[in-house]
Amino acid sequence: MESQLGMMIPVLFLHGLVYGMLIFLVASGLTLVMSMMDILNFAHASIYMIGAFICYQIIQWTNSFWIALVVAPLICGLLGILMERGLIRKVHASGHVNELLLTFGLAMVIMEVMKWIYGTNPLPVPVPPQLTQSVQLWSDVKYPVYRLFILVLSAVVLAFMFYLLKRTRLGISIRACVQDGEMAHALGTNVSIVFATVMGIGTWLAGIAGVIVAPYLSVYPGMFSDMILDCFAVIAVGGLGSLGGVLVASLIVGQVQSFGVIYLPSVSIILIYLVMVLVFIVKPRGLFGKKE
Amino acid sequence: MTPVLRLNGVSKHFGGIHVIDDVNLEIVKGERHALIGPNGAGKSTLFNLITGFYSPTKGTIHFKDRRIDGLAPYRIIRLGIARSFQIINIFKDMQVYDNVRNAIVAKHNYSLTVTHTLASLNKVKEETEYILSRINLKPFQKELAGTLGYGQQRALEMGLTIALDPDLVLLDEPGAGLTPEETRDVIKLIREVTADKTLIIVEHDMDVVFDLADRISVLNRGRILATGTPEEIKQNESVREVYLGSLFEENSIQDR
Amino acid sequence: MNRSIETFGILLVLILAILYPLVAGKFHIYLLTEIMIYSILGLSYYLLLGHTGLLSIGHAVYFGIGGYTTALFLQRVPNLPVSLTLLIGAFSGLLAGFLIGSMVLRLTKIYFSFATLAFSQMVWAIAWKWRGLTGGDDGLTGWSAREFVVPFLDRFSLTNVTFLYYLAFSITVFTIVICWYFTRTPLGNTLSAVKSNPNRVNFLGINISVAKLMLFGFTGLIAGLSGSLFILFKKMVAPNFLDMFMSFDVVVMSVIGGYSSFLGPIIGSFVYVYMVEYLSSITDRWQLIMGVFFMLLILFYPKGIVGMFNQFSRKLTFLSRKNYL
Repeated sequence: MESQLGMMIPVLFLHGLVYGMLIFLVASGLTLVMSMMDILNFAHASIYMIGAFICYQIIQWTNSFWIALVVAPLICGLLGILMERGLIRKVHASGHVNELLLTFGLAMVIMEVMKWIYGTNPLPVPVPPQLTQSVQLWSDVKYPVYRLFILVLSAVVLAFMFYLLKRTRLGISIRACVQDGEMAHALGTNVSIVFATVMGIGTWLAGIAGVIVAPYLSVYPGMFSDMILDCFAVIAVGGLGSLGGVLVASLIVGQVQSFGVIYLPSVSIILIYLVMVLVFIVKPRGLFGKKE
Repeated sequence: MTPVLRLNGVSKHFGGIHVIDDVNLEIVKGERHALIGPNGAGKSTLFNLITGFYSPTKGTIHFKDRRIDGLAPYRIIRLGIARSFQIINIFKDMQVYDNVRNAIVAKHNYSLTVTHTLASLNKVKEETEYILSRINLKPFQKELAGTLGYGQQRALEMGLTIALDPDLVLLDEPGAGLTPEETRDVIKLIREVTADKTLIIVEHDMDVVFDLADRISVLNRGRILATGTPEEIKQNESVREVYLGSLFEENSIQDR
Repeated sequence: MNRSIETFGILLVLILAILYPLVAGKFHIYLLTEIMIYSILGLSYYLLLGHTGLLSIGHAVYFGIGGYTTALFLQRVPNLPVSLTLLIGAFSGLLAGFLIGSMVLRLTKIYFSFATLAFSQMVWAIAWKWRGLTGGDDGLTGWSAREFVVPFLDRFSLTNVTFLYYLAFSITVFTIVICWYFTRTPLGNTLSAVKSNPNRVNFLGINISVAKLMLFGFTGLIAGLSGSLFILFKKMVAPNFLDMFMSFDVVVMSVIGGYSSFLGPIIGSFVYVYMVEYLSSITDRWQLIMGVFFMLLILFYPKGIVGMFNQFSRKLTFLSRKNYL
């Protein structure tokens, strides 16, 4: 038993990594939007869910996971921009409270729509045939290739994000807007376009997460609520506006979930909340949060 | 006589920027002390430090011989310091009467009580009306504070500060944006209400400063250039350098 | 003039409410009882959001904790009078308010809102998992046979719909009175000031954190009371009484009535319950419709029914002035 668990630790670690990266894909977009536009978009995780459902639907039609992987996130990105332009702008004028309430309502409505179209039962999405095997990692530890794929894909996306933010003009504009939107505006940045772009990229990322999670965790109308809470935990722990912080926090949360489910099964559900409480008490702005 | 307020080696750093650098200041009881200096010199920051909104990076602040740096603002206010704000900081969507009443209730330490209704507290009523008449806002008491004209909002801003009946009053540019007549009224009001109190006033209007102040401190780039009587400051070489002489011309009002 | 119209209006409503069970069928008495219990919950939420500006999106947690506590005492301490379990439930809401408040109030705006949700989800998760205590997703039942002893009067069965109506009615009236009183106290006024300009309140020498914590305790108490009453009414308690959808319902009710107004939650609960009743009888998709309705309200009538009414009466005043000038 001991040695089995010992074998399990690296596997659990990988699980945690996979889950952590998934959360990061969704939370990264959310934290940028939140810190730039000062709104809490409840419906962000709903877009993640929509991504998963679109993936399911595309596979139903075309039987190709890869088409879904390309198309669904694009649709999600578009939806994000629509959401920002159409709804959030309208309500921005009537204050923070109404903004939050609107996105809260939107999340509920999206869930109900998914329920209506697809019912409440989890929908199975098959792992793409190219990735169904397991790979021999070391001694007798086998690990599903698909999960490794998730890791690789997230790492690629991460690298892309890093490049975008640090090396391109758009990235600089984004970072400027995160730091100080008014100032960026004063210096000539078209803040409104930057907002829309960030929203679009953020939801595109959420869409990717939705697609890759579909074979991994299955698709159902309640999946947004787990994700939004994980996102929040990660943003709260990592600090608003700090992508690095959110990354670290996502990895931590991923490991906590992964090991928690095995070692502390009865408490695992609230483990993540306990971590949050700890962070609230010690560092209310998150581990890497902005000062003042 | 121990000074009412003592700042020893007070510094405030934000990252690499030394907004306040090694400030030493002693304010004597009953004194009217003016704080002047160019924009960005750190005058409002100093007020924020004294009232606890910021904690000093270095140094200590003593009020009536009691150490107050690091205390929360509400604690410091309770000890007897009150400040007004450069940018009007009133309760815009409450009536003028309620604005003043908030301060009166706070002064009496009733703000968290539930044993009586507000309306039943007669002393509060009387004192609110008294302050309202002193700042000449009685006819407007039912208006929402945000609908008042600028000069009246300034008066209310001051009213909120003096309603607390503090021992030490910090006024941050109380004359900002006022017409010359309004400014004269404000000075008169300040004289009256701070008669038995200690006052530190930040002002750009040199007429006001020289009229009111017993002593002046000149702040520049976070450091105190000089402290002294108005005459001493006028003669001071380094002060003249900083202001290039324009400060002391007749009827000068410094550009903002 | 306005005063006497108000007083007359209030008396009229009271009398109608008292006489209602004499003319209405069991079903409508049941519905109105539910409305009243929701009004209590809604009022506690008004004090948080409408009065003080604190956007909590996990308010159902106090409702649920009150309900579960009362249920547990009813199940496990059979000699305890039902009325006492009500009080205990309310008190558990008070404690929860203080506990959760002490942790979420140090956070600002968005974080605060989300933290309220996070804590309510945590409690929901516990309610779901801890079968031994809470019955898990089956919940708890078993007190429908109990009797409620009203001092100086009779004993009433909990299955007596009319009795439950008057019990809810008296508690609702009581709650309205103490909440109204609360808003007139210095603490109530301080909290309004916090809504208006928290920074200045700080500089008046007021400890805002303590003020907010006291508010959390009080609203927890009222919400817990409504939860306790609710489980007596429904004869059961389950984890969905404190999940995010219940919290969302509280928000919807408040928005319908007008979340910045004292009367808002009362009017809102009334409209909400009847809307749900009607919609669910004609379609399965009533939750979707309610959600869309809610969004439309936020976009076009964020001030709710009270807001619409105020707008209307302002137009009337304006028109009448024009005519008589």
